[in-house]
Amino acid sequence: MKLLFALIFILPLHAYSLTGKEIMTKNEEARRLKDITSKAKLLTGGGGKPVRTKEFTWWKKLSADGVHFKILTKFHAPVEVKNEGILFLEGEGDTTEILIYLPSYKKIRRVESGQQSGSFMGSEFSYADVSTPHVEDFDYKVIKEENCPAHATGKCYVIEYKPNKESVTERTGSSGGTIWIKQDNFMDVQSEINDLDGKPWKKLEATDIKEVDAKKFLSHHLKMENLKTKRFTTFIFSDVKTGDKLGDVLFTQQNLSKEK
Amino acid sequence: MLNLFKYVGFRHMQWKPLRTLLTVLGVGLGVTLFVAIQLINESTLISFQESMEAISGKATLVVTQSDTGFPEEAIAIIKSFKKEVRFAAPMVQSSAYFTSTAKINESLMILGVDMLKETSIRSYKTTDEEIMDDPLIFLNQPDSVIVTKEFAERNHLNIDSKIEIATTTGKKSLTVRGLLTPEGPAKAYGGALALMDIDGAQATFGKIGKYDRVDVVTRPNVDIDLLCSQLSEKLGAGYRVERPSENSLSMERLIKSYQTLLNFFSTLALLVGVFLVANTVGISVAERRREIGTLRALGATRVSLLSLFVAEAAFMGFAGSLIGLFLGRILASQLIGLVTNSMSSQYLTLISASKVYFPFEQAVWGILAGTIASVAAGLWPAYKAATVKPIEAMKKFEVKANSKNQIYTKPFWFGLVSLVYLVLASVYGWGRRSQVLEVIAEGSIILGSAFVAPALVNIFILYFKKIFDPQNPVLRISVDNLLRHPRRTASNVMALMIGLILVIQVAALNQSFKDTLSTWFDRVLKSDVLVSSNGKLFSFQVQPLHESLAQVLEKVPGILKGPKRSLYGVRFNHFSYNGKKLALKAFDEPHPDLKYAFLAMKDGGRAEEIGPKLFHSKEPVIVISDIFSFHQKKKTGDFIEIATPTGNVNFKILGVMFDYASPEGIFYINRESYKKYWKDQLVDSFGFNVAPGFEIENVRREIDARYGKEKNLMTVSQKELKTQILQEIDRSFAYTKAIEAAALLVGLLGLFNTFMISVMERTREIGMLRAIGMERIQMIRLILNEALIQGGFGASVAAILGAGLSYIFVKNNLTHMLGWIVDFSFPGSIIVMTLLIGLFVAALAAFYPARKAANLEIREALEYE
Repeated sequence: MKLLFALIFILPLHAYSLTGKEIMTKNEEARRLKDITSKAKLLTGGGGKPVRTKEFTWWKKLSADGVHFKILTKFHAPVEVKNEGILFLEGEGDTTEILIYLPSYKKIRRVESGQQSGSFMGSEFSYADVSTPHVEDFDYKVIKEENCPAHATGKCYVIEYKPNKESVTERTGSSGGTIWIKQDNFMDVQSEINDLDGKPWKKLEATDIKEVDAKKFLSHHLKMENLKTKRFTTFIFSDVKTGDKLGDVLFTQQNLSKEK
Repeated sequence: MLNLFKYVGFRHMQWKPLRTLLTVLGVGLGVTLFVAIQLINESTLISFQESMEAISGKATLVVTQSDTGFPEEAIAIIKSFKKEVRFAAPMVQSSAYFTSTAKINESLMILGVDMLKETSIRSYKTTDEEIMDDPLIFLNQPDSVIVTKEFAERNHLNIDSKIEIATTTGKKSLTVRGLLTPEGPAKAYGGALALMDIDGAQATFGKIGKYDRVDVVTRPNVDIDLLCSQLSEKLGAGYRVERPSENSLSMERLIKSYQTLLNFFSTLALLVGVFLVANTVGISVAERRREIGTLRALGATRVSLLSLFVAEAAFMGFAGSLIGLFLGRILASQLIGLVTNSMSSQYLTLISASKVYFPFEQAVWGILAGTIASVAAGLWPAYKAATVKPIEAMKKFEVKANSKNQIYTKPFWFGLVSLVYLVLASVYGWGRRSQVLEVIAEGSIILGSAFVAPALVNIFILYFKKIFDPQNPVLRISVDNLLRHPRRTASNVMALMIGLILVIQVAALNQSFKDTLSTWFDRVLKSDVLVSSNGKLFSFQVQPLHESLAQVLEKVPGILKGPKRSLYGVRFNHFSYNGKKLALKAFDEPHPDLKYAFLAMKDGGRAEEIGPKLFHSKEPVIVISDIFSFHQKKKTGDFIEIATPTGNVNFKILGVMFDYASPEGIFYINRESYKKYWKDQLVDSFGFNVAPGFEIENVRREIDARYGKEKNLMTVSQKELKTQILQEIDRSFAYTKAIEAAALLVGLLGLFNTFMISVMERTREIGMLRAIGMERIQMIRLILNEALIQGGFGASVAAILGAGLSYIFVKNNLTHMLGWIVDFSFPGSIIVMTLLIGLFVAALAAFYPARKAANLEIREALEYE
């Protein structure tokens, strides 16, 4: 009788209308912009070191499979990195390919998957953070609903996630973490990322979230803080364009090595 | 037995504290050297193995070829084994030498790695800091380098600091863009390690399109041996596909062989120290004869008496070993740098040890070595004590008159047999066949010298008296005294002689190396001037230069023009042959006036005959060194297959020459063939001669002014190079000074000990001499005379035996121990110095006992028993 009482009255209090996976699928859907071009800045500092700024142009295109993206980054400043480019060709599991063009050597180099958990160009973002996380790579559990963190407004789902494949763990360099998803637009506003030992490693805050296409959103201001070193990196997007269709030819090695 | 030791043995040591202390110190010094060398050996080997393991990281296989590297395309072949190979990371390795303006007095091992693949193989990040300050800048700037924090601190470098190094095209400024914490690979080479991105390293060190090694991480459950053979087959001749532990085996073998020499010296030093125990126990037995007799009369068994003296020896050995352990650890940390530098310059490879390892087993082994050796040393005198008849022992001790028979005693014959064994063992290489025979041979050096030398000293004194018949009464009494007590005379100088023999052996080895190289240099080095990048050309620690630099240098006025070229390049390199690391020298054909003098031929013909064949033969030809010929049993006319970067090539041996750049063997080849087979256009130095009417120094100044700073070049004259080499040999032997000093100190302690006993034994005699009118000053002169005669003749005998033993060692043991074939040189100046040291040490040791003898009260002395 007690058990029945519990099943009828207590369980619904802890059952959410959506599962973690459903929420994250909606999150991926909200972020899934087909073609996007933007100017961007990467500011890295903290931990007693001066702030360094890098400027680049950013192109992102949804692949034909409708799931994975192709991302091209071309750096303009500072002068030491001018014409350097990075091409992300996302694939299933650990097949994501990351290529870097080094103008000093006129050479394209490949970033090994084991290296993708490393720093994205000296920032607190890893290559894996910059490429798009996919629902299928993780297991999710909604742990609560609460007010979103201070920098965001409204209600959020708080979801715990864990990589479900070793290759994902290796690529991300993380054992999982917690993510805050806004209930109104399903955009993530905060993530707490753990290291491989499960200890807090990094914290991501996404602000300035704008609807750049029909029900498609983009956070224009991403701040990643390393909780261990107190260093931070801010990713700022500007001049975001979503209407122009980007050709596949843009995301090729030939284009990567083109210098202006 | 314990009670006997407690109430008799220990009390006796307490009663003679100075003698006990000196003996303990003597053993302590021997053990100090023994432990120090053991620790240095252990630490060097562990550091080297750790360096190699750290560099290999997670790699399960390592692919290498010759020192010149192999084409980048090889990695595609390796990666084609997709099912087996998980990661394959290339590497370019090079030693970096700093320019004179850099003000950094150490070289750096630079690893050019693909920073985008590195974590798959090696892990550098041990803290949460990123090793690269900014990877985007690091990767795109060819001047980027990451150094270890240790190196940065040593040389006051920070992020963005500039360091200037020599490259194949001149000097180059590198920018520090990251710091490595001392973990993983950063621990290798004692922290003298830096990382560059592979593209930057290839450009800097003239290895565009080449890799030096590829580290392979295999997938789980892969049959490594099968993959090894498959990869070897697919990559072709010249490639070595090995497990990381196998990759460094040839170098480990060289280090171990070098350590054999160190072990040899340290064992001798230990034996010198232990000899002091034998001496002390022997004296103790002699002066306690009556006590022994009393103990035996009271019922002490022979076994308990034997145990008593053995326990005394063990106690002194143990106490000395404890001191030796402590001092050995300190000495090891002081000497380790000298020893590793010596190894580095001998094998032309960076070998360093960042710290001294002191494992528990080493401490136990040090104590055991000192104690057991002391017990062994005390056994014979203890046996003598145990076997003496009580009635004999109770009698007053009588000194037998001198006779020839007392000189040619059983120990003398035993010593002589030991020396004969040593000669035979060295000539026929018995020690190489069995470890036991090797130990016996080492022991024979000490035993042979210890038992033969005293007899020789007595013979010398006997003939000194016969020939010079000294009339000075004090000197006459001194000589007579010595001859009346040959055993005492012998025991006085034994320790000193053995110490001096060790000094002479080390000196002879040093001198033999120097003279052999000096003679060879005079024979082969006929270029007036050599040009190289800034560094140590004598040990090829220079950054190679591109051959095209010759055309630039040719324009300097005063360089003698040749038919084809005016500057003659030499390339020095290593390659693998039958698992050994052999050296290769590739030469440009020199000016006809030089008559191929660089070929110091031993076999196959004269240089003028072999030279043209070496440079103009249509088939692949080489000249091999006598060291290689000796070790590999190859001779003129034989063929030898060498795995070159372009495949296996069958070279005909034109002749055998002398060269001392490698103890494993050296090949000479003409540089055109070298370029063809090794695909390498670099040279280590250019040689040239100065045209008539020009001054060598003026031409050197001109090169220096034009290109010295701009291209980081240096010039060195023939004479300077020779001086540098000889100085380097001295530096290589620097650590042996500690061995010599310890041996001499033990000798001094032994001499002091025995002189003190000698004065005590002669108390009544001294009282008698003083009573019949001998003045105090005459007494001092008497004792000093005796000391100087013993010291002088002791040193002379040490010189004769030391030179003889050194000859045997250099001619027979050195080649097998280290690989080198050198001519024996008589260390004349050291012999003279040894005689002076012998006199000085004897006088020093005798001074206090002499004063003590002079100050004895006559009445008390006459009453002494």
